[in-house]
This record gives sequence, structure tokens and C-alpha cells, in this order.
Amino acid sequence: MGRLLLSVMALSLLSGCVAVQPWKRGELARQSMAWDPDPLQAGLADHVYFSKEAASGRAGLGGGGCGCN
Amino acid sequence: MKQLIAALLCLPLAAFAVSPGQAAPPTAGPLLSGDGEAGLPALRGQVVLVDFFASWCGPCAQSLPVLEKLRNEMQAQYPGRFEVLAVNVDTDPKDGRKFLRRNPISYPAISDPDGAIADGWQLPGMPTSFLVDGNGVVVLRHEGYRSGDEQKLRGEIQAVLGAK
Repeated sequence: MGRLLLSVMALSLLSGCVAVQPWKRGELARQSMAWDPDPLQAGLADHVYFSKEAASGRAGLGGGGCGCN
Repeated sequence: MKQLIAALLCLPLAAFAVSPGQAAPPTAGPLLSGDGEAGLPALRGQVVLVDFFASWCGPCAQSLPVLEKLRNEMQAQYPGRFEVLAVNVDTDPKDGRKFLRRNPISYPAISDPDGAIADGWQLPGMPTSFLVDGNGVVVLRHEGYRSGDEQKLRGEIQAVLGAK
């Protein structure tokens, strides 16, 4: 168990991940860090996508559409 | 073993944070609102609660009015012996100033946009406050804020001031 723990800790040192310090987490709260910085723009893009592709739900749902949009 | 693993997981954050018994790291900087500077050297001899806050930190909006009330209460009880020093860690001081307009305080607030002061204290989370005695030694580290935490802080402050 101790060896496994040591291995995990050693491997974590080799990763490229860097912990964001608690006092720098404001950077993560920035609007530009969101997947969809502009919800209105994202909604419009969604509508255009499923209308053109006939695939309601965009990339978030499985299955196809009927082509009747 | 579970406790050991939990302790190891917390190690990166807690191991280097300033703890009671240690000397307070350098803490001084320009005032967030207005001209001039403030910091621990100017408050030497007083018991100081160093409170780190940011505009993006939800619990800070709750803790600031409580600290303001506690500070006024302690200053009335122990005139000239207690002060709160707020340190704003917003990368854009404008955000901090806007936050203070919504949550006004009468104690000094300094700006730490590059995180140099916070880096020295190695904060384990936000908000975090440290109680520093008159000799510049940390006597309490308080992480986070929950309603009712002021009771504990009041007790600790009174214990330090009463022991003098």
C-alpha cells in the first residue's frame, strides 16, 4: 500500500498539472474561462446547428433528427 | 491508513500555510481605496486580524460585514489595541473597490494584485484570516467563513488581548 501511494505521488510529480493557488482562483471565475462565455450566442449557435444538421440536441444528445426542422 | 491518505492529500495546501507560532510574513501595500499605504509594521503593538478577501469569493461578502461589526465592538472594548487589516487579492483592484462599495468597511484594506502577500502567507483557501499578536506572531489561522464563526474569533481576540 505504501509503495503504491509512493508511486502515485511520484507519478503526480511528472504530470504537467499545476494547482491553481486559492488566491488566484479569480482567474477561473472569469467569463472568458467558461465553455460558453456568451449564453445567447451559444443558444443561437445551437439552433443553427440542429436546424442545419437535423440533429436536435447538438453534440449533447445521441440519435438523429427527422429533417423537419 | 485512511487518515494518512487524507492527510497526504491535504498536504500540498496545508503544509506550507502559515501556522500559529510562526512570525507573520511581510504584509504591507497600497490602500485599495485612496492614497497611502498600510500594513502590519504600522500596526506593531496591536493585535491585528489579517483578513484576505476577493470580489469573486462568495463567503467574503458574508464575512466582511461581520468583521466590521466585530472590529468596532473590539475597538470599543479595547481602544487602540485591536485592528483588522484586509488584503484584497483581486488581480484588478477595480473589482476590489467595487466589492467594497457594496460591502463598506472602516478598517484599512490593502491591494495585493500580484498575490505577493498571499504567496507569503500560503493561504489554504479563501477567505482566510490570521490573528497576529502585538509582537508579530501568528496566534490563530481561520479558514473559510460560516455563520457563527465570529463567536470563535471574538473569544480568541479577547483571549489574546486579555492576556496582555
